[in-house]
Amino acid sequence: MILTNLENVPDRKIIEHYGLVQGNTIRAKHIGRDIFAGIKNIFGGELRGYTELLSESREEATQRMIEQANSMGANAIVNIRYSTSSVAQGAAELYAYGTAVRVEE
Amino acid sequence: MKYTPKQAPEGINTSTEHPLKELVLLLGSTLAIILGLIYFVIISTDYLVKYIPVSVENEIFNNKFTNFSAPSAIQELQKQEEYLNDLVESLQVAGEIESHKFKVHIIVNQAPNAFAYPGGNIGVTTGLLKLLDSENGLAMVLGHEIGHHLARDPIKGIGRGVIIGIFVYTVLGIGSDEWIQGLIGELTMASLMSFSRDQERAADQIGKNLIFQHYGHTRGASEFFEKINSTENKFIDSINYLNSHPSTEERILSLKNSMDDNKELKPLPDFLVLDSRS
Amino acid sequence: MIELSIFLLLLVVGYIFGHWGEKKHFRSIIKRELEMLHVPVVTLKSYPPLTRDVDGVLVSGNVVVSIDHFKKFLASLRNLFGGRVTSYETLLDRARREAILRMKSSAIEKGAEVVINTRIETASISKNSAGNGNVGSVEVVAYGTALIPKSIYKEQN
Repeated sequence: MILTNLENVPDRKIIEHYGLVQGNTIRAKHIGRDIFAGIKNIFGGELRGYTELLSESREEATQRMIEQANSMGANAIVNIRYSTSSVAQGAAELYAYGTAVRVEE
Repeated sequence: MKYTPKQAPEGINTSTEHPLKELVLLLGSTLAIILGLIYFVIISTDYLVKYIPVSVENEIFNNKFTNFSAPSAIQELQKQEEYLNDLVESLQVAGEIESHKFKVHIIVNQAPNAFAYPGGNIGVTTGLLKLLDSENGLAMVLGHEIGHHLARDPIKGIGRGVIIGIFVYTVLGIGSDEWIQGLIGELTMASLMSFSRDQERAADQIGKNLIFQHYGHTRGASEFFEKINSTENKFIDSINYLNSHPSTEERILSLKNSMDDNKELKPLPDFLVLDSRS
Repeated sequence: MIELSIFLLLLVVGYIFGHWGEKKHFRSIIKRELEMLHVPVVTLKSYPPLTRDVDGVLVSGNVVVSIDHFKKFLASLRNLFGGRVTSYETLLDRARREAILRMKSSAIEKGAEVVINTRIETASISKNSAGNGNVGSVEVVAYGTALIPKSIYKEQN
Protein backbone atom coordinates (compact mmCIF):
# COMPACT_ATOMS: atom_id res chain seq x y z
CA MET A 1 0.00 0.00 0.00
CA ILE A 2 1.47 3.30 -1.08
CA LEU A 3 0.99 6.16 1.35
CA THR A 4 1.57 9.77 0.55
CA ASN A 5 0.33 13.16 1.52
CA LEU A 6 0.77 14.50 -1.97
CA GLU A 7 -2.08 14.99 -4.39
CA ASN A 8 -0.99 12.02 -6.37
CA VAL A 9 1.67 9.34 -6.45
CA PRO A 10 4.73 10.71 -8.25
CA ASP A 11 5.10 9.40 -11.76
CA ARG A 12 2.01 7.25 -11.62
CA LYS A 13 -1.43 7.92 -12.90
CA ILE A 14 -4.49 7.49 -10.75
CA ILE A 15 -6.97 5.21 -12.47
CA GLU A 16 -9.76 4.95 -10.00
CA HIS A 17 -10.68 6.27 -6.58
CA TYR A 18 -12.95 5.04 -3.85
CA GLY A 19 -13.53 8.01 -1.64
CA LEU A 20 -12.48 8.76 1.89
CA VAL A 21 -10.90 6.18 4.15
CA GLN A 22 -10.17 6.74 7.80
CA GLY A 23 -8.51 5.06 10.70
CA ASN A 24 -8.54 6.08 14.33
CA THR A 25 -7.45 4.75 17.63
CA ILE A 26 -7.55 5.81 21.25
CA ARG A 27 -4.92 4.50 23.59
CA ALA A 28 -4.41 5.05 27.22
CA LYS A 29 -1.14 4.98 29.04
CA HIS A 30 -0.88 2.75 32.05
CA ILE A 31 -0.23 3.69 35.61
CA GLY A 32 3.49 3.03 35.42
CA ARG A 33 3.99 5.63 32.73
CA ASP A 34 1.83 8.05 34.68
CA ILE A 35 4.01 7.77 37.72
CA PHE A 36 7.16 8.11 35.70
CA ALA A 37 5.78 11.15 33.91
CA GLY A 38 4.85 12.72 37.22
CA ILE A 39 8.40 12.39 38.39
CA LYS A 40 9.85 13.52 35.07
CA ASN A 41 7.71 16.61 35.22
CA ILE A 42 9.94 17.79 38.00
CA PHE A 43 13.12 17.43 36.00
CA GLY A 44 11.98 18.23 32.49
CA GLY A 45 13.01 16.58 29.26
CA GLU A 46 11.43 14.14 26.87
CA LEU A 47 8.74 11.85 28.17
CA ARG A 48 9.91 8.78 26.36
CA GLY A 49 6.95 6.69 27.43
CA TYR A 50 4.42 9.10 26.00
CA THR A 51 6.34 9.54 22.77
CA GLU A 52 6.28 5.79 22.32
CA LEU A 53 2.58 5.71 23.10
CA LEU A 54 1.75 8.31 20.51
CA SER A 55 3.84 6.81 17.76
CA GLU A 56 2.32 3.42 18.43
CA SER A 57 -1.10 5.02 18.18
CA ARG A 58 -0.22 6.69 14.93
CA GLU A 59 0.98 3.35 13.57
CA GLU A 60 -2.24 1.69 14.56
CA ALA A 61 -4.43 4.42 13.11
CA THR A 62 -2.52 4.23 9.85
CA GLN A 63 -2.90 0.46 9.84
CA ARG A 64 -6.64 0.72 10.19
CA MET A 65 -6.86 3.19 7.39
CA ILE A 66 -4.86 0.83 5.20
CA GLU A 67 -7.21 -1.98 6.16
CA GLN A 68 -10.20 0.02 5.00
CA ALA A 69 -8.47 0.87 1.73
CA ASN A 70 -7.53 -2.76 1.19
CA SER A 71 -11.10 -3.86 1.59
CA MET A 72 -12.04 -1.48 -1.20
CA GLY A 73 -9.39 -2.79 -3.54
CA ALA A 74 -7.15 0.27 -3.50
CA ASN A 75 -3.41 0.14 -3.76
CA ALA A 76 -2.54 3.64 -2.63
CA ILE A 77 -3.82 6.30 -0.26
CA VAL A 78 -3.15 9.89 -1.22
CA ASN A 79 -3.49 13.20 0.52
CA ILE A 80 -3.24 11.71 3.98
CA ARG A 81 -3.82 13.95 6.95
CA TYR A 82 -3.27 13.23 10.62
CA SER A 83 -5.06 14.73 13.54
CA THR A 84 -4.54 14.35 17.25
CA SER A 85 -7.03 15.27 19.89
CA SER A 86 -7.57 14.71 23.54
CA VAL A 87 -11.01 13.40 24.32
CA ALA A 88 -10.41 11.49 27.49
CA GLN A 89 -8.19 12.43 30.31
CA GLY A 90 -4.99 10.48 30.01
CA ALA A 91 -5.69 9.02 26.60
CA ALA A 92 -4.46 10.11 23.19
CA GLU A 93 -6.69 9.93 20.15
CA LEU A 94 -5.09 9.62 16.74
CA TYR A 95 -7.00 10.03 13.52
CA ALA A 96 -5.71 9.45 10.01
CA TYR A 97 -7.70 10.01 6.84
CA GLY A 98 -7.00 10.08 3.13
CA THR A 99 -8.38 9.19 -0.27
CA ALA A 100 -8.15 5.57 -1.39
CA VAL A 101 -7.10 5.26 -5.03
CA ARG A 102 -5.84 2.74 -7.49
CA VAL A 103 -2.75 3.78 -9.38
CA GLU A 104 -1.41 2.15 -12.48
CA GLU A 105 1.40 -0.30 -11.91
CA MET B 1 -10.02 8.80 -13.05
CA LYS B 2 -13.30 7.18 -12.42
CA TYR B 3 -15.08 6.75 -9.17
CA THR B 4 -16.17 3.39 -7.88
CA PRO B 5 -18.36 3.67 -4.82
CA LYS B 6 -17.32 1.23 -2.12
CA GLN B 7 -18.51 1.00 1.45
CA ALA B 8 -15.86 0.22 4.03
CA PRO B 9 -16.66 -2.76 6.29
CA GLU B 10 -17.60 -2.31 9.95
CA GLY B 11 -15.35 -3.33 12.77
CA ILE B 12 -12.10 -1.77 11.60
CA ASN B 13 -12.25 1.35 13.65
CA THR B 14 -14.41 -0.09 16.38
CA SER B 15 -14.20 -3.17 18.46
CA THR B 16 -16.91 -5.80 18.60
CA GLU B 17 -16.03 -6.83 22.13
CA HIS B 18 -18.92 -6.38 24.50
CA PRO B 19 -18.36 -3.48 26.91
CA LEU B 20 -19.72 -5.37 29.89
CA LYS B 21 -17.13 -8.07 29.46
CA GLU B 22 -14.41 -5.45 29.44
CA LEU B 23 -15.91 -3.79 32.49
CA VAL B 24 -15.91 -7.00 34.49
CA LEU B 25 -12.37 -7.80 33.50
CA LEU B 26 -10.94 -4.38 34.29
CA LEU B 27 -12.92 -3.82 37.44
CA GLY B 28 -12.06 -7.26 38.73
CA SER B 29 -8.34 -6.77 38.16
CA THR B 30 -8.41 -3.31 39.73
CA LEU B 31 -10.16 -4.50 42.87
CA ALA B 32 -7.88 -7.50 43.14
CA ILE B 33 -4.81 -5.28 42.93
CA ILE B 34 -6.18 -2.74 45.39
CA LEU B 35 -7.10 -5.40 47.93
CA GLY B 36 -3.72 -7.07 47.51
CA LEU B 37 -1.93 -3.80 48.14
CA ILE B 38 -4.05 -2.99 51.17
CA TYR B 39 -3.33 -6.40 52.62
CA PHE B 40 0.36 -5.86 52.05
CA VAL B 41 0.19 -2.42 53.66
CA ILE B 42 -1.58 -3.84 56.68
CA ILE B 43 1.04 -6.51 57.19
CA SER B 44 3.95 -4.13 56.85
CA THR B 45 2.58 -1.33 59.02
CA ASP B 46 1.69 -3.77 61.76
CA TYR B 47 5.28 -4.84 61.71
CA LEU B 48 6.80 -1.39 61.56
CA VAL B 49 4.57 0.24 64.14
CA LYS B 50 6.20 -1.81 66.85
CA TYR B 51 9.16 0.52 66.54
CA ILE B 52 7.22 3.56 67.68
CA PRO B 53 7.71 3.60 71.46
CA VAL B 54 4.75 4.24 73.74
CA SER B 55 6.26 7.49 74.95
CA VAL B 56 6.30 8.88 71.44
CA GLU B 57 2.71 7.79 70.90
CA ASN B 58 1.65 9.52 74.10
CA GLU B 59 3.59 12.61 73.22
CA ILE B 60 1.92 12.95 69.83
CA PHE B 61 -1.64 12.24 70.80
CA ASN B 62 -1.88 13.59 74.29
CA ASN B 63 0.23 16.66 74.02
CA LYS B 64 -0.39 17.74 70.46
CA PHE B 65 -4.09 16.93 70.37
CA THR B 66 -5.17 17.96 73.80
CA ASN B 67 -8.85 17.21 73.16
CA PHE B 68 -8.02 13.56 73.47
CA SER B 69 -6.79 13.68 77.00
CA ALA B 70 -8.69 16.47 78.71
CA PRO B 71 -11.01 15.47 81.54
CA SER B 72 -14.71 15.75 80.89
CA ALA B 73 -16.08 19.25 80.72
CA ILE B 74 -19.37 18.12 82.23
CA GLN B 75 -19.33 18.55 86.03
CA GLU B 76 -21.49 15.56 86.83
CA LEU B 77 -19.32 13.20 84.90
CA GLN B 78 -16.09 14.10 86.60
CA LYS B 79 -16.77 11.94 89.62
CA GLN B 80 -17.59 8.97 87.40
CA GLU B 81 -14.44 9.52 85.39
CA GLU B 82 -12.41 9.51 88.57
CA TYR B 83 -13.99 6.24 89.59
CA LEU B 84 -13.26 4.70 86.21
CA ASN B 85 -9.70 5.91 86.25
CA ASP B 86 -9.20 4.35 89.71
CA LEU B 87 -10.64 1.09 88.46
CA VAL B 88 -8.31 1.08 85.47
CA GLU B 89 -5.38 1.81 87.74
CA SER B 90 -6.21 -1.10 90.00
CA LEU B 91 -6.43 -3.38 86.99
CA GLN B 92 -3.07 -2.07 85.88
CA VAL B 93 -1.58 -2.86 89.29
CA ALA B 94 -3.11 -6.33 89.27
CA GLY B 95 -1.69 -7.03 85.83
CA GLU B 96 1.65 -5.40 86.62
CA ILE B 97 1.43 -3.19 83.57
CA GLU B 98 4.05 -0.50 83.57
CA SER B 99 4.45 0.26 79.91
CA HIS B 100 1.36 2.44 79.54
CA LYS B 101 -0.43 5.14 81.41
CA PHE B 102 -4.17 4.98 80.78
CA LYS B 103 -6.85 7.61 80.97
CA VAL B 104 -10.59 7.03 80.76
CA HIS B 105 -13.04 9.50 79.21
CA ILE B 106 -16.80 9.36 79.38
CA ILE B 107 -18.62 10.05 76.16
CA VAL B 108 -22.25 11.05 76.29
CA ASN B 109 -23.97 8.63 73.95
CA GLN B 110 -26.91 6.28 74.24
CA ALA B 111 -25.32 3.39 72.44
CA PRO B 112 -23.30 1.19 74.76
CA ASN B 113 -19.78 1.20 73.46
CA ALA B 114 -16.16 1.50 74.49
CA PHE B 115 -13.13 2.60 72.46
CA ALA B 116 -9.40 2.56 72.66
CA TYR B 117 -7.64 5.40 70.96
CA PRO B 118 -4.01 6.36 70.73
CA GLY B 119 -2.12 7.81 73.66
CA GLY B 120 -3.42 5.31 76.20
CA ASN B 121 -6.93 6.78 76.05
CA ILE B 122 -10.04 4.76 76.69
CA GLY B 123 -13.51 6.05 75.89
CA VAL B 124 -16.67 4.70 77.52
CA THR B 125 -20.19 5.80 76.63
CA THR B 126 -22.86 6.70 79.17
CA GLY B 127 -25.00 4.08 77.45
CA LEU B 128 -22.53 1.44 78.51
CA LEU B 129 -22.51 2.59 82.11
CA LYS B 130 -26.30 2.38 82.20
CA LEU B 131 -26.31 -1.07 80.70
CA LEU B 132 -24.01 -2.86 83.12
CA ASP B 133 -24.86 -3.99 86.66
CA SER B 134 -21.63 -5.18 88.16
CA GLU B 135 -18.18 -3.74 88.52
CA ASN B 136 -16.79 -7.02 87.24
CA GLY B 137 -18.55 -6.56 83.90
CA LEU B 138 -17.33 -2.99 83.67
CA ALA B 139 -13.79 -4.05 84.57
CA MET B 140 -13.94 -6.60 81.78
CA VAL B 141 -14.77 -3.92 79.25
CA LEU B 142 -11.98 -1.69 80.53
CA GLY B 143 -9.61 -4.64 80.58
CA HIS B 144 -10.50 -5.36 76.98
CA GLU B 145 -9.59 -1.83 75.97
CA ILE B 146 -6.36 -2.07 77.95
CA GLY B 147 -5.71 -5.22 75.96
CA HIS B 148 -5.98 -3.23 72.73
CA HIS B 149 -3.47 -0.73 74.00
CA LEU B 150 -1.04 -3.42 75.07
CA ALA B 151 -1.17 -4.86 71.57
CA ARG B 152 -0.64 -1.34 70.10
CA ASP B 153 -3.83 -1.74 68.08
CA PRO B 154 -4.84 1.95 68.01
CA ILE B 155 -1.60 3.14 66.57
CA LYS B 156 -1.59 0.30 64.08
CA GLY B 157 -4.90 1.55 62.79
CA ILE B 158 -3.56 5.06 62.35
CA GLY B 159 -0.43 3.72 60.67
CA ARG B 160 -2.49 1.84 58.13
CA GLY B 161 -4.61 4.86 57.41
CA VAL B 162 -1.59 7.07 56.87
CA ILE B 163 0.20 4.68 54.58
CA ILE B 164 -2.87 4.02 52.49
CA GLY B 165 -3.52 7.73 52.26
CA ILE B 166 0.00 8.47 51.12
CA PHE B 167 -0.22 5.70 48.58
CA VAL B 168 -3.48 6.93 47.13
CA TYR B 169 -2.58 10.56 46.86
CA THR B 170 0.85 10.13 45.39
CA VAL B 171 0.55 7.12 43.13
CA LEU B 172 -3.07 7.19 42.14
CA GLY B 173 -3.41 10.92 42.44
CA ILE B 174 -1.39 11.46 39.33
CA GLY B 175 -3.93 11.81 36.56
CA SER B 176 -6.60 9.63 38.09
CA ASP B 177 -10.24 9.98 38.86
CA GLU B 178 -12.28 10.70 41.91
CA TRP B 179 -14.02 7.40 42.18
CA ILE B 180 -10.84 5.52 43.04
CA GLN B 181 -9.91 8.07 45.65
CA GLY B 182 -13.39 7.91 47.10
CA LEU B 183 -13.25 4.15 47.31
CA ILE B 184 -9.87 4.13 48.98
CA GLY B 185 -11.00 6.89 51.32
CA GLU B 186 -13.88 4.69 52.46
CA LEU B 187 -11.61 1.71 52.95
CA THR B 188 -9.14 3.83 54.89
CA MET B 189 -11.82 5.10 57.22
CA ALA B 190 -13.04 1.56 57.74
CA SER B 191 -9.60 0.23 58.59
CA LEU B 192 -8.97 3.19 60.87
CA MET B 193 -12.12 2.82 62.90
CA SER B 194 -12.11 -0.87 63.45
CA PHE B 195 -9.89 -3.53 64.76
CA SER B 196 -9.76 -6.92 63.17
CA ARG B 197 -11.44 -9.96 64.65
CA ASP B 198 -8.18 -11.46 65.80
CA GLN B 199 -7.27 -8.27 67.59
CA GLU B 200 -10.64 -8.32 69.32
CA ARG B 201 -10.25 -11.91 70.47
CA ALA B 202 -6.77 -11.19 71.81
CA ALA B 203 -8.07 -8.13 73.69
CA ASP B 204 -10.85 -10.28 75.17
CA GLN B 205 -8.32 -12.70 76.59
CA ILE B 206 -6.18 -9.97 78.11
CA GLY B 207 -9.25 -8.41 79.69
CA LYS B 208 -10.28 -11.76 81.14
CA ASN B 209 -6.82 -12.30 82.60
CA LEU B 210 -6.83 -8.85 84.14
CA ILE B 211 -10.10 -9.29 85.95
CA PHE B 212 -8.96 -12.69 87.12
CA GLN B 213 -5.86 -11.14 88.56
CA HIS B 214 -7.84 -8.37 90.22
CA TYR B 215 -10.93 -10.20 91.50
CA GLY B 216 -9.64 -13.75 91.70
CA HIS B 217 -12.36 -15.04 89.36
CA THR B 218 -13.80 -14.30 85.96
CA ARG B 219 -17.51 -14.13 86.68
CA GLY B 220 -19.06 -11.17 84.95
CA ALA B 221 -16.63 -11.30 82.06
CA SER B 222 -19.40 -11.99 79.56
CA GLU B 223 -21.90 -9.56 81.10
CA PHE B 224 -21.62 -6.90 78.44
CA PHE B 225 -22.21 -9.33 75.61
CA GLU B 226 -25.07 -11.08 77.35
CA LYS B 227 -26.72 -7.73 77.89
CA ILE B 228 -26.26 -6.70 74.30
CA ASN B 229 -27.67 -10.01 73.17
CA SER B 230 -30.81 -9.65 75.17
CA THR B 231 -31.82 -6.01 75.07
CA GLU B 232 -34.73 -4.88 72.98
CA ASN B 233 -32.41 -2.79 70.92
CA LYS B 234 -30.23 -5.80 70.34
CA PHE B 235 -30.07 -5.22 66.63
CA ILE B 236 -29.13 -1.55 66.82
CA ASP B 237 -26.65 -1.94 69.63
CA SER B 238 -24.90 -4.86 68.11
CA ILE B 239 -24.54 -3.17 64.73
CA ASN B 240 -21.93 -1.04 66.39
CA TYR B 241 -20.01 -4.14 67.13
CA LEU B 242 -20.72 -6.81 64.58
CA ASN B 243 -18.91 -5.11 61.73
CA SER B 244 -15.50 -6.11 62.85
CA HIS B 245 -15.97 -8.04 66.03
CA PRO B 246 -16.36 -11.76 66.48
CA SER B 247 -19.93 -12.79 67.06
CA THR B 248 -21.34 -12.13 70.50
CA GLU B 249 -22.16 -15.77 71.12
CA GLU B 250 -18.61 -16.73 70.38
CA ARG B 251 -17.29 -14.19 72.81
CA ILE B 252 -19.70 -15.23 75.56
CA LEU B 253 -18.55 -18.80 75.17
CA SER B 254 -14.90 -17.91 75.34
CA LEU B 255 -15.37 -15.70 78.36
CA LYS B 256 -17.67 -17.77 80.54
CA ASN B 257 -16.20 -20.20 82.97
CA SER B 258 -18.81 -22.32 84.69
CA MET B 259 -16.57 -22.92 87.69
CA ASP B 260 -17.07 -19.30 88.65
CA ASP B 261 -20.86 -19.34 88.68
CA ASN B 262 -21.13 -19.25 92.40
CA LYS B 263 -18.69 -16.41 92.94
CA GLU B 264 -19.85 -13.02 94.09
CA LEU B 265 -20.15 -10.00 91.83
CA LYS B 266 -19.26 -6.56 93.10
CA PRO B 267 -22.06 -4.12 92.35
CA LEU B 268 -21.47 -0.73 90.78
CA PRO B 269 -21.51 2.33 93.03
CA ASP B 270 -24.76 4.34 93.08
CA PHE B 271 -23.41 7.53 91.64
CA LEU B 272 -22.57 5.68 88.45
CA VAL B 273 -26.22 5.13 87.63
CA LEU B 274 -27.22 8.17 85.66
CA ASP B 275 -30.69 9.62 85.62
CA SER B 276 -32.81 10.49 82.63
CA ARG B 277 -30.16 12.60 80.90
CA SER B 278 -28.19 10.79 78.16
CA MET C 1 -22.51 5.59 50.53
CA ILE C 2 -25.13 7.68 48.81
CA GLU C 3 -22.57 8.98 46.34
CA LEU C 4 -21.66 5.43 45.46
CA SER C 5 -25.25 4.52 44.72
CA ILE C 6 -25.77 7.63 42.59
CA PHE C 7 -22.60 6.74 40.75
CA LEU C 8 -23.78 3.19 40.14
CA LEU C 9 -27.14 4.46 38.94
CA LEU C 10 -25.44 6.77 36.45
CA LEU C 11 -23.33 3.87 35.25
CA VAL C 12 -26.30 1.62 34.67
CA VAL C 13 -28.36 4.32 32.96
CA GLY C 14 -25.36 5.31 30.87
CA TYR C 15 -24.79 1.76 29.80
CA ILE C 16 -28.37 0.92 28.91
CA PHE C 17 -29.26 4.07 27.04
CA GLY C 18 -25.81 4.55 25.62
CA HIS C 19 -25.65 1.06 24.18
CA TRP C 20 -29.13 1.22 22.75
CA GLY C 21 -28.63 4.72 21.34
CA GLU C 22 -25.36 3.70 19.78
CA LYS C 23 -26.82 0.72 17.97
CA LYS C 24 -29.64 2.83 16.66
CA HIS C 25 -27.24 5.50 15.50
CA PHE C 26 -24.98 3.07 13.74
CA ARG C 27 -27.89 1.55 11.84
CA SER C 28 -28.93 5.02 10.70
CA ILE C 29 -25.37 5.89 9.72
CA ILE C 30 -24.90 2.76 7.62
CA LYS C 31 -28.21 3.29 5.89
CA ARG C 32 -27.42 6.87 4.98
CA GLU C 33 -23.90 6.03 3.91
CA LEU C 34 -25.21 3.53 1.42
CA GLU C 35 -27.73 6.04 0.15
CA MET C 36 -25.13 8.74 -0.36
CA LEU C 37 -22.42 6.53 -1.75
CA HIS C 38 -22.82 8.04 -5.20
CA VAL C 39 -21.25 11.32 -4.11
CA PRO C 40 -17.62 10.74 -3.15
CA VAL C 41 -15.74 12.61 -0.50
CA VAL C 42 -12.03 13.01 -1.14
CA THR C 43 -9.10 14.81 0.36
CA LEU C 44 -7.67 15.63 -3.04
CA LYS C 45 -7.33 19.27 -3.92
CA SER C 46 -8.23 18.90 -7.55
CA TYR C 47 -10.62 16.57 -9.25
CA PRO C 48 -9.55 15.78 -12.84
CA PRO C 49 -12.91 14.58 -14.18
CA LEU C 50 -14.51 17.86 -13.16
CA THR C 51 -12.32 20.85 -13.87
CA ARG C 52 -14.44 22.96 -16.15
CA ASP C 53 -17.91 24.34 -15.73
CA VAL C 54 -18.02 23.69 -12.05
CA ASP C 55 -18.52 25.90 -9.06
CA GLY C 56 -16.89 25.29 -5.73
CA VAL C 57 -18.97 25.89 -2.64
CA LEU C 58 -17.81 25.34 0.94
CA VAL C 59 -19.91 22.76 2.73
CA SER C 60 -19.58 21.55 6.26
CA GLY C 61 -21.23 19.24 8.69
CA ASN C 62 -20.73 19.10 12.41
CA VAL C 63 -21.96 17.10 15.33
CA VAL C 64 -21.45 17.06 19.08
CA VAL C 65 -21.72 13.71 20.81
CA SER C 66 -21.77 13.38 24.55
CA ILE C 67 -19.87 10.86 26.58
CA ASP C 68 -21.94 8.94 29.07
CA HIS C 69 -20.78 7.95 32.54
CA PHE C 70 -20.34 4.32 31.70
CA LYS C 71 -17.87 5.12 28.93
CA LYS C 72 -15.99 7.51 31.14
CA PHE C 73 -15.73 4.92 33.89
CA LEU C 74 -14.42 2.25 31.51
CA ALA C 75 -11.89 4.74 30.17
CA SER C 76 -10.64 5.57 33.63
CA LEU C 77 -10.19 1.88 34.39
CA ARG C 78 -8.28 1.53 31.15
CA ASN C 79 -6.04 4.33 32.26
CA LEU C 80 -4.63 2.09 34.95
CA PHE C 81 -3.71 -0.73 32.66
CA GLY C 82 -3.09 0.90 29.30
CA GLY C 83 -4.23 -0.26 25.88
CA ARG C 84 -7.07 0.61 23.54
CA VAL C 85 -9.97 2.48 25.02
CA THR C 86 -12.68 0.63 23.12
CA SER C 87 -15.54 2.51 24.74
CA TYR C 88 -14.41 5.76 23.14
CA GLU C 89 -13.61 4.25 19.77
CA THR C 90 -17.24 3.66 18.90
CA LEU C 91 -18.10 7.15 20.08
CA LEU C 92 -15.59 8.84 17.83
CA ASP C 93 -16.33 6.64 14.89
CA ARG C 94 -19.98 7.58 15.11
CA ALA C 95 -19.24 11.25 15.48
CA ARG C 96 -16.94 11.37 12.48
CA ARG C 97 -19.15 9.41 10.19
CA GLU C 98 -22.11 11.52 11.20
CA ALA C 99 -20.25 14.74 10.52
CA ILE C 100 -19.19 13.52 7.08
CA LEU C 101 -22.75 12.44 6.32
CA ARG C 102 -24.10 15.82 7.26
CA MET C 103 -21.55 17.48 5.03
CA LYS C 104 -22.48 15.13 2.21
CA SER C 105 -26.17 15.77 2.58
CA SER C 106 -25.55 19.48 2.55
CA ALA C 107 -23.53 19.03 -0.65
CA ILE C 108 -26.14 16.80 -2.27
CA GLU C 109 -28.83 19.35 -1.52
CA LYS C 110 -26.83 21.85 -3.48
CA GLY C 111 -26.52 19.42 -6.36
CA ALA C 112 -22.85 18.62 -5.94
CA GLU C 113 -21.14 15.73 -7.64
CA VAL C 114 -18.15 15.45 -5.36
CA VAL C 115 -16.71 17.06 -2.27
CA ILE C 116 -13.00 17.77 -2.48
CA ASN C 117 -10.30 18.90 -0.09
CA THR C 118 -12.13 17.55 2.88
CA ARG C 119 -10.75 18.28 6.30
CA ILE C 120 -11.96 16.88 9.57
CA GLU C 121 -11.35 18.49 12.91
CA THR C 122 -12.07 17.01 16.30
CA ALA C 123 -12.36 18.93 19.53
CA SER C 124 -13.15 17.91 23.02
CA ILE C 125 -15.59 20.06 24.90
CA SER C 126 -15.79 19.71 28.62
CA LYS C 127 -16.81 22.20 31.22
CA ASN C 128 -14.23 21.04 33.65
CA SER C 129 -11.86 18.22 32.76
CA ALA C 130 -11.56 16.53 36.13
CA GLY C 131 -14.97 17.78 37.15
CA ASN C 132 -17.30 16.21 39.63
CA GLY C 133 -19.52 14.16 37.39
CA ASN C 134 -19.15 16.43 34.41
CA VAL C 135 -18.58 14.22 31.43
CA GLY C 136 -17.34 15.96 28.38
CA SER C 137 -18.46 15.84 24.80
CA VAL C 138 -16.74 15.51 21.48
CA GLU C 139 -17.30 17.87 18.59
CA VAL C 140 -16.41 16.85 15.07
CA VAL C 141 -16.60 19.18 12.10
CA ALA C 142 -16.05 18.06 8.52
CA TYR C 143 -15.68 20.67 5.79
CA GLY C 144 -14.79 20.60 2.14
CA THR C 145 -15.48 22.15 -1.22
CA ALA C 146 -18.46 20.82 -3.08
CA LEU C 147 -18.11 20.84 -6.85
CA ILE C 148 -21.41 21.69 -8.45
CA PRO C 149 -21.83 21.57 -12.23
CA LYS C 150 -22.53 25.06 -13.47
CA SER C 151 -25.87 24.23 -14.97
CA ILE C 152 -27.34 23.17 -11.64
CA TYR C 153 -25.75 26.06 -9.83
CA LYS C 154 -27.33 28.52 -12.22
CA GLU C 155 -30.73 26.96 -11.58
CA GLN C 156 -30.36 27.41 -7.86
CA ASN C 157 -29.26 31.02 -7.95
